[in-house]
Amino acid sequence: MLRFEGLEQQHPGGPRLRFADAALARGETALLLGPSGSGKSTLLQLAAGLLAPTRGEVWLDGQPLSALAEAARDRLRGARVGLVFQRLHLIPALDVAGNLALARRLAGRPADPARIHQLLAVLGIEALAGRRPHQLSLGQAQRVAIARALVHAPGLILADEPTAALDDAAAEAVARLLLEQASAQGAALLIVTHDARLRPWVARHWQLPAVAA
Amino acid sequence: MSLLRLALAQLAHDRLGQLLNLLLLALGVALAAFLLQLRTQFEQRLTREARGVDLVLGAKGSPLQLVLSSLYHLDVPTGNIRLSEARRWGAHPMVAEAIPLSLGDSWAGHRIVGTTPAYLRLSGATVGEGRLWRAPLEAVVGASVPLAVGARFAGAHGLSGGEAHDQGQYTVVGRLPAGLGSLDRLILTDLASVWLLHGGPAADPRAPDAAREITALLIRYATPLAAASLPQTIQRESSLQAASPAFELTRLRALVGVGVELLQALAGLLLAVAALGVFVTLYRALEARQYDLALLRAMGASRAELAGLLLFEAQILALAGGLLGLLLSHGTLALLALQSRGAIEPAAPLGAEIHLLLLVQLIAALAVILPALRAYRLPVADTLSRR
Repeated sequence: MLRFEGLEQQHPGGPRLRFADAALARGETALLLGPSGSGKSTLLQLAAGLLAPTRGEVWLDGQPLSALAEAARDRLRGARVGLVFQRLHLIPALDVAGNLALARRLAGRPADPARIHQLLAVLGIEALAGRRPHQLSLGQAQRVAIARALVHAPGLILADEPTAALDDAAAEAVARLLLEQASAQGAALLIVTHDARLRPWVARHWQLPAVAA
Repeated sequence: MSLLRLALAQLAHDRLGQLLNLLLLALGVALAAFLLQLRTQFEQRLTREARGVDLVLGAKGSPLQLVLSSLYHLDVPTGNIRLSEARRWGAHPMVAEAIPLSLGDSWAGHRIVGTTPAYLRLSGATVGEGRLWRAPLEAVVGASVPLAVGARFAGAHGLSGGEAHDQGQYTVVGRLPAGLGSLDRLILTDLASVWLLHGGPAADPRAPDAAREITALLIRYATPLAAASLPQTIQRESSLQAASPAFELTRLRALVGVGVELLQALAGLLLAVAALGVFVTLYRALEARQYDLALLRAMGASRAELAGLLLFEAQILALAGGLLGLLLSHGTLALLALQSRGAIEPAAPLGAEIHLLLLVQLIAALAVILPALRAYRLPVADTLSRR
């Protein structure tokens, strides 16, 4: 589903980041670990095709991203990738159901209110369908973000610090949901984190080395 | 969840910020549409009510005043003229038809006009209910005069009400249908009614024309050649004033035009301020919405869809503002029509109003170019990393 080959990224004025080759198949899960500045978020953005690498190649669902035009990369990302962000993940103008419906629309999937409500029910937040993001607690918003990442049945879920700022109970609930749902959908799951609480949950760890400034 | 619905949701979410833009757009459109309607009605009325009248004879004074008072019943007459002198010119070989008018009295603000049935024919009007007058003190009233057939009333001195005539009362024998312009608010009667009520020698049915007066004589030429010589001849050979409606109306358009142009400039200014408001709101909102827009890109929206989203928002706002403006303009005209006794008519939709709506859409599209371009160029990864 996801493969990195000879990846290097040079940010203007920053150190040159070099990433080891790696691959993640459907149904597999990995934690991307590393100290601050090691390039965790950069690698996640490269995986999603939001950044073009200085060198090397990212393969997503069998397609080399560098060979695709930007619009095609956008379409591929919308259809095949589910993204979970650390904070402020939802469109404030839309209610919870609207946020999920928008994700399906951007993935090129037909509208399916039944699927949305079923997914919200599975995540235990069906009652929040009509609420706006500002009416949700942090834990509730994180569950909605997970639902949105899953609603279009992507092959790859990329989660950026999904448990940061959550207490232990909420962090455990979010981690459990992510792992269960990714597994249920047969999706590959890559979680960027430096939250040590997640380590026991996932067997496969990709450790990025510290980068000298 | 289409982009259109997302744009609607975004506008609803930011409704307080967009309210001022909506009101500015609506006011600009309302003022522009209002002026369009007034100008159209003004032109239509000028043309319609001057139809068939080539020359107006009356007492010396302002020719525009003579035309306004005789054709549109909007100003006070310049004075009276002798019937004998008017008849002399009415019988001129270059004159096909001459219609006398006698003004000076009113009832409840409605002018009483002594004339002949030819005055109705001039407007192509026929009595809708009842019949035409056949004798003095019988009257036919316009549609906005609140008197039923069979009603009796006493006229008052002056065009805006004064001491009531106690010599006799009018009887309404007919009513005109609505939509006849200034006829709607007039009370028409025989010339003899006016002489009868004002007493003196003219009240005697056997009185000579020299003893009687009228206010104006409306003349239709028998030949176009008359325009070149008859007015000058009348001015030279009589004490009367001859005013050409076509000439005076051109002068009136020039006079009123300055005011209309100023108001049009004001409407244009309002629309420009509204466009600037849309631009500033969208541009400033971009700062706050950068993360949302980057999120949309991360979720698969293309650059063009992001720009399209902002364009949608501006177009929806422009359409809502435009329609609200037209509603305001038509509502105001309908209210004015109720109070103006036919001077202003309720607005009928104009083709130019569609052009106005399209113009507002174009202005909104221009206002959104820069914000849309900025959204188009949004660096997604950088924006998402900043938060």
